[in-house]
Amino acid sequence: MRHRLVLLVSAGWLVGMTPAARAQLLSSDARRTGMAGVSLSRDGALGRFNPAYQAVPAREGRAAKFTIPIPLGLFQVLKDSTAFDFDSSYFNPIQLANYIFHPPLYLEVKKSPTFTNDVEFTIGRDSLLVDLGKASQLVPTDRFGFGGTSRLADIGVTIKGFHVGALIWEEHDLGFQLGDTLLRFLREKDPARTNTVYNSAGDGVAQAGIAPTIGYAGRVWGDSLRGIYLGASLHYYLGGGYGGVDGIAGFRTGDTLFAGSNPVSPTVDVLVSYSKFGNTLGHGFGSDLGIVYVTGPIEVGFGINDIGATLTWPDTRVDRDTFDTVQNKFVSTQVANHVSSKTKLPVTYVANAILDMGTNTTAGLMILNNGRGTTIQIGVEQRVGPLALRGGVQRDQRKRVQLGWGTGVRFGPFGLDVGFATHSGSLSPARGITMATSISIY
Amino acid sequence: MLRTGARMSVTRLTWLAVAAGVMILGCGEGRAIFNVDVLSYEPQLADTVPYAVPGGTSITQVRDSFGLDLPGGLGNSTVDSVSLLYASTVLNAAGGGKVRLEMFFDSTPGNVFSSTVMRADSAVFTGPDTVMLGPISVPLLADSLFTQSKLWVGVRASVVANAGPVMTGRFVTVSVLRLRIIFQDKVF
Repeated sequence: MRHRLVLLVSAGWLVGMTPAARAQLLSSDARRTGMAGVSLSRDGALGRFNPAYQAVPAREGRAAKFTIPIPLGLFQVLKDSTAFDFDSSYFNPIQLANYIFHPPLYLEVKKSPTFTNDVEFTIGRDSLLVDLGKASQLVPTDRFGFGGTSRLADIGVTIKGFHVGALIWEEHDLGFQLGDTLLRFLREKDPARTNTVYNSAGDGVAQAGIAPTIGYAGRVWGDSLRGIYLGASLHYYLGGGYGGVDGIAGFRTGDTLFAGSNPVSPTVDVLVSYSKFGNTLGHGFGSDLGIVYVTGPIEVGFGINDIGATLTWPDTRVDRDTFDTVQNKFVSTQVANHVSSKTKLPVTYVANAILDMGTNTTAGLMILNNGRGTTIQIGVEQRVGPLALRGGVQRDQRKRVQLGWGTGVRFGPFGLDVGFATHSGSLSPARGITMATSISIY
Repeated sequence: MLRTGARMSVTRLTWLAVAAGVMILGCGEGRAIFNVDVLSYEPQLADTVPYAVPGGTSITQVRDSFGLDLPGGLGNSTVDSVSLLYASTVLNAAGGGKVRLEMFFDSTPGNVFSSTVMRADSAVFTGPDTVMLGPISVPLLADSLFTQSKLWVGVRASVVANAGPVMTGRFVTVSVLRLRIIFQDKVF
């Protein structure tokens, strides 16, 4: 049990520490990948986070009706026996978990180089020193984790800009914060001490439901060449269920570090709160606002999502989970039941600008903050007959510069595009390159 | 002098091995290196053996031996290398001469000092002094003897006294005894 707990927590750390940059740069559309993630049409983050874009007419021939990614990367993954050869001695469950959390849709044409990093443990009966080498830089000093908010479906009708419908939503967030002693032990090669607690604080929440929505998006000033578009949506969030954890987990060293069969004792103290499906629904209001200004070849937009989106869950159960060192097992005790609790959806901001420079050249800029860091993307597309050439640059959530480039060819309603994007490992400044391919129907 | 002990239990290291493997997998290619201070588990090995050698003579019978329970699986393919680091300390009280330290390894205690598997180091004294002999690094995977679960270690000091006063002192049988195990990149 103890070993599985360590493995589970470690896997969580690794998945949390896996760079999100690749996901930010890559999309299901190779055109956007070739422009470092910038959208020049109404798709992607623009349509998702700026409701005013529902009313802005698409530029001629720019937006595809739909785009189908060609998942060349999956063939590469299926050959990875460390993740799928369950019976082999080199089967690596963490690699498999990484594939599940970060599906490698596209082909890795140049892997991000990894350097050799030895990890050294010096162990005595009453001493323990860990030297992670360069990997110690990976040990985060601040809270780290992963999460996201998704609107899985938006069903409804829109008449003259007014929209009535319902969306299916989910939000998940998992974070860790290493305690001071554990941080020094891992990052600063601080020797382990006797009778000391080494722990990590963790918190997480997952919630899902539907949200009846009313909204409006339309041009409030000007004409099709020069105008201001506004969009606003009001959601009444109905939460079907949620679960949250908040607490600390770690271990306490004994009088001697390595003596007896149990050199360390787990210390776990976690509050678990949840409202199951079937309980009284959670509820709360939230809203989206957006504005787009179009003047000839220029358009500028700003959108904000989930303003004030706080849900009240009237039928929540709260348990306290601890590890009983006497019985050597986890113990759960009920703290409260049928009580009220609250959760919050993170606010997302997006700002963008698109410039049609004439001469078949279009450039775009997008700044996105989803509550977990800011990305800045700049991209440009040059069309030459049926061909399109693309390039872009991005500052990712870890403030590293990444590049994108690509090309495409279009025959009537069909387009075949290829895009390349760089990405970095956590330690090495050297970059890998991923190739995205997709087919678009216009 | 014959003793047993220095049992190293690998189960104590399991949770560390898991953590090490996880970190390696998360940080690109790399090896997990364990330096285990065996002496800290068996402090009685740091025994002292006296010697008194008249000037101009020599002795070779200042010796001690002890058993080591080696962790299993050292011959496993995931193990890159294993070495034993050994050192002894000579505390010379009077006289001068040369002290040579020899380490013998065998699977049985009775034959340990006649084993051909040995390592040596030496030091020269001109008067009272404290000198560490070694550390001697012994690559354990170099001989099938070290893939067995039980290993006997014999330590013999040869003292050659210079002409003059009696060379007296003592040596600490074990000053450093570390096991260094290096795992290859893919532990899992």
